[in-house]
Amino acid sequence: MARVVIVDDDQDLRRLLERRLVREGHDVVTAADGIEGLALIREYQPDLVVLDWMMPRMNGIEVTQLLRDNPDSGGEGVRILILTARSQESDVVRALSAGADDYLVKPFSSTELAARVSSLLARR
Amino acid sequence: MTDISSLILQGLAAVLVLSVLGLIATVVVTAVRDRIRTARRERLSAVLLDICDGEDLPAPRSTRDAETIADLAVRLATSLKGSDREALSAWLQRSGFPGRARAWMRRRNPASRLRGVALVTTINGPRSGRALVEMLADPHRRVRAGAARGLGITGAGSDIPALFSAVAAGRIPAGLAAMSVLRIFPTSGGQLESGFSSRDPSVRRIAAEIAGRLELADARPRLERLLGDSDATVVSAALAALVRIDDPEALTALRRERDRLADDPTRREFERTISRLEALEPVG
Repeated sequence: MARVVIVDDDQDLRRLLERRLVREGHDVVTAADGIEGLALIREYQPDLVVLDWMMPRMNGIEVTQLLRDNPDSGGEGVRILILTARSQESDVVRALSAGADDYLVKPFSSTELAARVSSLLARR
Repeated sequence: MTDISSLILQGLAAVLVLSVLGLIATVVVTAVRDRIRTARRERLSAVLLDICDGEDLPAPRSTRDAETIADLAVRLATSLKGSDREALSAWLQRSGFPGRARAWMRRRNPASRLRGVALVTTINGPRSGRALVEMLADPHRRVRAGAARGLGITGAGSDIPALFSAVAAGRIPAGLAAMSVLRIFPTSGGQLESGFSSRDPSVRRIAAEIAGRLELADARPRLERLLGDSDATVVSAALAALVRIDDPEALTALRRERDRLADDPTRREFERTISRLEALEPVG
């Protein structure tokens, strides 16, 4: 069982992701935007973060950069999976350059998401 | 005089009190209505997630519930694919939503018709394409655009002429139709024939652009036909498409059309295309 933080401003999607990952046996908490997500990551010290890119207040890439640039922010060693509708090659490169470990494009399959989460956690 | 002043003051006070009471009543009613709406949304959102998990739940009884669940399903479906989306679509079909969507598409209110269009797209059932083609003639611009986008998701090659016709009739923008046709993914130039032979230059142009983008090699003779088009943007699109298709067989038509042109930018565009294709021409 791993600790997972899901940060997505879409409430229904957040719930769906939470249900899927809880069913996989993970301990999951959720946040609705980047700033709330950062606070939760600091407090919760998760093994993995699922981050939406486009969110109000602070986007997923900014959160990723903050986590990677400040190891004491709770982001040390944390795996980051970016989940987004942005599918251009340059977007993937930008997310990975910012420090994301993996990238999944919406529309996505929750089965694929669960498999990617397992794969990322196995790399710890 | 004093009596009249007193009556006026009393009247004003009554109006003020009534206004304040009216305001309070509006605030309370709005708050209660929002709370009911939020509670309904929360309840039905949970139902929808159960459906994505494969549970077979009964169809909603009330129209309000059906409308809310349709809106939630449409929104959620845009982020999902695979088994979650299939489960959602199958449940919507089993639960009578295709009939509801058709009814919504006939309503006077454009927002209801748009909801119907979005739902038909999400359900993606056997008759979705036909229903969306009909909505390309809707009087409201947003409904027509929704139908065109929906055809890009649910449509087949046989729906492409309807998209081209809608552009020619000024019902949808050419760019939107092009995106939808690209998503339908025609596999032969023949499926774009209605576009190549359209009277509208913007339709001929997007047909050429799509043929090039998808590298439809069998579209070459149709693209060659467009080299003599009266519209310069159509000719440019045909030249660009021939470059992408990369077939030296087009050289004969290209040279013939070039020789008819004076020394102008179009002729130079032909020269560049010919140079690109000559590099591929078999020697001897």
